[in-house]
Amino acid sequence: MDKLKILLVDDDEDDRQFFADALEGVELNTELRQLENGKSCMEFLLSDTDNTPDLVFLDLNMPIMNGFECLEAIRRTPHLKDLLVAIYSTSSAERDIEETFEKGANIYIKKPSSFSELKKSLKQVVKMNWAYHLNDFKKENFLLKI
Amino acid sequence: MENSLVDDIFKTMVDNADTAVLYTEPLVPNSLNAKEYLVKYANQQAQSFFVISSDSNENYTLEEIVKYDELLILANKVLETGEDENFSIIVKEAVSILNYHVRIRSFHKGLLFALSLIKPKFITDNESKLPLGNLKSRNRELEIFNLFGIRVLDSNDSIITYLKPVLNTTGNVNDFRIDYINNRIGEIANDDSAFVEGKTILEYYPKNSENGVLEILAECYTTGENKEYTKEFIFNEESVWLTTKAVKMNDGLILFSKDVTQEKKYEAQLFIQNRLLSEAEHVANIGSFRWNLVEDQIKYSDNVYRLFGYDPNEFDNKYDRLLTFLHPNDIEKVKSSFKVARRNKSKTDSVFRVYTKSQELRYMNTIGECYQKEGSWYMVGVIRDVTKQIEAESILQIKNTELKRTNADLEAFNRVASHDLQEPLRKIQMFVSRLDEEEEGRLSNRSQGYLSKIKYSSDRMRNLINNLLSYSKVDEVGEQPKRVDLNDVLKNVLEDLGERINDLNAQIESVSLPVVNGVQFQLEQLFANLIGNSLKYVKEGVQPNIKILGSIVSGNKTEVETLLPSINYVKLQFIDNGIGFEKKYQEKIFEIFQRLHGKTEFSGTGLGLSICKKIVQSHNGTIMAKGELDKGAEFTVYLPTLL
Repeated sequence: MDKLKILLVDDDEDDRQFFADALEGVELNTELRQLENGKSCMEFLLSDTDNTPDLVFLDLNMPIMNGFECLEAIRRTPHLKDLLVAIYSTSSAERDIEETFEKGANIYIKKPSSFSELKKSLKQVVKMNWAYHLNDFKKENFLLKI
Repeated sequence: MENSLVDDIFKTMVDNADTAVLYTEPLVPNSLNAKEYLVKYANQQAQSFFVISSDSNENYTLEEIVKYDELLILANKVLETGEDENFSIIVKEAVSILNYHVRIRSFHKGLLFALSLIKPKFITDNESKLPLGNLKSRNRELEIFNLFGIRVLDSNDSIITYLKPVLNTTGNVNDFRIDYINNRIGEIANDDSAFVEGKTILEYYPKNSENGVLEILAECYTTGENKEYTKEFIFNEESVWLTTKAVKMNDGLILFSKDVTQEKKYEAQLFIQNRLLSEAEHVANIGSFRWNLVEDQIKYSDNVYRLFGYDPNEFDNKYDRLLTFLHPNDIEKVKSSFKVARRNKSKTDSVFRVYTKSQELRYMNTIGECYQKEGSWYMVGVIRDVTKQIEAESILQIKNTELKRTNADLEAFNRVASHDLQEPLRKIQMFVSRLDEEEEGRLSNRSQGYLSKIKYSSDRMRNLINNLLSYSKVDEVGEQPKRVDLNDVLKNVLEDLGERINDLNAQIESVSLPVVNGVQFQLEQLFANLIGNSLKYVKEGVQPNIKILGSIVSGNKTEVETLLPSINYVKLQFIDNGIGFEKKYQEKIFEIFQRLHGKTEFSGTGLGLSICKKIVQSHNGTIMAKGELDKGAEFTVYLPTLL
């Protein structure tokens, strides 16, 4: 398999750094692109269709265009409707989690409070990426409650 | 008694009767067509009912005077069959609807009509009083009265008395001799007619000189005017009220007396009831009114006047006067409200402001309903002073607004706590964990200690924020209560706590638990907090044992005051053998941020039991703690059962 193309959309610089560092710890050939909000995410996804990522990590609370709106925009776009989207947020409110799944999210990851947990989560998501490609994906197996 | 006197008595009686009596005879003897009948006699009531002018010499035919075809048809029927007809007719007049009972029968050579009002008539100001004239002289020629004997008089409801005046030497009436009295007197005074006849009224009842009866009768005799009076008499030590109508006849007086004792008794009762009502109104700050809509006369109870700051009857009883009390801005509202009620004969319920006599502004509530009686329309209702309620309501409204604001503040705080407080905390924890990882083995022992302290403190802070959040979320109207099987709740909680239970080698004993109506995740939190507490406050060197018991009890079988006696409760008990607590803390441990132990001794935020209490309360239940130091703790929860 080629490099796994991952897109992280998060306005928080620290969190992006944590993510990038944790991903490096995952022994896998990945290529990470980082964007700061939903708007720039959509601009990228709509213009550069050659580089459509395999997996998107989407923060919810972002300026200009938040994660919910971005998720909706993704699902409205024909060539992106099957894109694997993982929500990556601090919120643990049941309402938020449910809403993202209603809007078409595939995974929900609560931002952890320790670095090792973050590494663990990312490894799982990669595993899930495989399951997705093997058509063996079940949503409930990948709702990560941390 | 001579026949001629009986005739006269009877004629007077019929002339003065409440029943309209009309006698007709055919032009041609034995005619079978009612239209050919002429009026031969009509008493006063009949003259007024059929509008027969007694001035003219005309011979009225029945057809001329009877405006209702129904009457003629039935009169013909009587002629055909010879049998009596009894029926009622409805007569619509300008302001009233009257219901008459009519009787038509073959009588003597003709037909006799008797019409009596079933409902009392609504008396108008211009009620016609037709003078007696030629018709009366014609009446005198009638022989019909000869057909009646004394038995008819005796079968009358009234006491009928015929009096002859007794004159003194100066020619003034100073007594009356009772020439005739029918046997009704026997029922009232227990005296025979024969015993009474021949005596004077003062001999028979001496008090007649003091009670005004003699005076009235003397006047009736002297002036010839009819008199009516109601007086109390004592016969055989019993009070009897008689209403008497006195009519001058020939050289004497004829009296028709009716026993109205019952009516008087009702009147007395009514008086007492009115007094009671008046008292009740006074106490309840209510006034009542009865408004004759046709005549615009409002009868107020005394308390209405008092509500407006006046003495009873101090102001005019017209609608327009009532309007003058109103606050200028409320006049139109009240007018239209009454207008609609009057037009539709519907109910009215309005609140308006009035100025009392002392110019004090008060709020009044009027509820009125329309009804029809005796051909007229009335509105009856109550007036209440609702100033206090209105004031209380407005205070409540202000408080409500404040509460809404407070709730909004609280919600804003929740948002801040859930996201904005957690974000920086998570960052601290992230950086600490990275530092810990990257500098492992390179930090001095002291620095490593500092790092541990930071970790510990930030963990505690996270816990605290989470607990604060759950505490404030208990009341959030999120999930609707559902059937919850507490066995499932317990199973889930024990699974979550599995690791700790294993680590402590704790023994958990439980019975089969009932089903309740509740919010599953909250009940799980309740169980988790209570069992979690038992796992936390264990006694060193003793195997932890936790018992979870459940049963159903009736509210009146417990000694818990906050439970309703009429319903059943699920009683849950959580009993452990841990360190327990001092009895004096039984209440206090449920208070927010209440900690019985030092922070270092046992970890905790001081919110766990407060959350439990809030959850139980939001399920309409009660939670209680029982404990003794070193003897373990027992928590009892009562939750209402499904039914």
